[in-house]
Amino acid sequence: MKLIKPLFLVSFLVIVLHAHLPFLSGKDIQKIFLEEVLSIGSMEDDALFQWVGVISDSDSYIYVTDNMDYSLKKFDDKGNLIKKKGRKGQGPGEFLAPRYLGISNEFLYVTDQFKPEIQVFDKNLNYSHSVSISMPVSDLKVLHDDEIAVTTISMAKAGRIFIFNSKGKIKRELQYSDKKSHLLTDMVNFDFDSQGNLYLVYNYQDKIEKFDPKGRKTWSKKLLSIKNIKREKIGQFMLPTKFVYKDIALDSTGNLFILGGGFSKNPSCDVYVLSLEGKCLTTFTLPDSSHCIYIDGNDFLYSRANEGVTLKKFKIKYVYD
Amino acid sequence: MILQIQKHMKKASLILIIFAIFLSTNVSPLEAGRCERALSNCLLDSIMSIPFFARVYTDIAYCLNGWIFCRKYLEN
Repeated sequence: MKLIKPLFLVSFLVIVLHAHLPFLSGKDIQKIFLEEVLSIGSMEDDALFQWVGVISDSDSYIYVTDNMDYSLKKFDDKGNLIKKKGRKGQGPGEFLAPRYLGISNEFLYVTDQFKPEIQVFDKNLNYSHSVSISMPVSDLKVLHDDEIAVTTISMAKAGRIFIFNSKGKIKRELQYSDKKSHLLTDMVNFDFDSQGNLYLVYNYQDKIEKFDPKGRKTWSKKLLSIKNIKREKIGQFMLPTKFVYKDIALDSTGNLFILGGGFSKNPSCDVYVLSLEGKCLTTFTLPDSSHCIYIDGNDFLYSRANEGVTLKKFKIKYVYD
Repeated sequence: MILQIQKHMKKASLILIIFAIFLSTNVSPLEAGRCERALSNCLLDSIMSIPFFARVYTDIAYCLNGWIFCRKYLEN
């Protein structure tokens, strides 16, 4: 009789976990649907003009950088504009071309196309301080306030992710490519999982890679069977002109979402979903082309519409085998 | 000493101007694009406005970063 209660509890837990967390039972995703839950900005209003970076916090507030009005904006989960900060300028809290966002428990991190620093704001969008970074930042992930991971365009030190501390000193470098390659060939977007594994998508190569926390390559995948990326002469440079992959994001259940570029069937719309072991599980298509994808802690996916005037938020609906 | 530095400065400026003219005349068909025009202007600006070589590489990197963003944003 004493055993009945614990047995009942265990059975109940097994049933609940099996029903709600299929990834724990080893099931693979068969299909993904997106259900639109929020749309911010339209041609009829001035909420957004040309948004670039998006991130959300644990209270479901959404933070967006807007390139057109040089601002950082905060929206609530209903899409109401709560606050807007910033104007054109070189000073603290001002922007020349606001770009990507990172977040920690306390702060928001904002990169700028033309400023050699990452500006740090509190969640009420009050300017706090800046982290000086002398190279142009092309992607950013904040691991915590003293570990800011960035990729940069560096002629001398390509193929690395730099981890900066809060004072702007390089704490460590993660070298993912040591080959001497053409200019921009090693450009990547990246993300980390909760175990500290690093996932990379190359912008100008058909390559997706995983590195363990010690920097050892775990796997490398090609999805599109592209061998040669055409380079064209622009000014003095021979540059790759078509993106293979544009962005990478991880959901909370351990799947990689990769936004395809110009080589995909639906350019800048196709999203490839991979397991953390690199197995391609499924593909889905965004309703509008986007320059980026972002997935928050509650598995809502954010992407662009109306060429940057609109930010869409979708619930990711998983269908398992 | 000052005369020598001035002489070197003149030489460096001359090389930069020649490089800038070379850049501006070397136009590819792709430069009809918005991003490519912006890149060309950015490269020209950075070369014309910087009297020393030391910063040129950093400025070129900023120009390229802008071009990558522009292509990424506009490419559909």
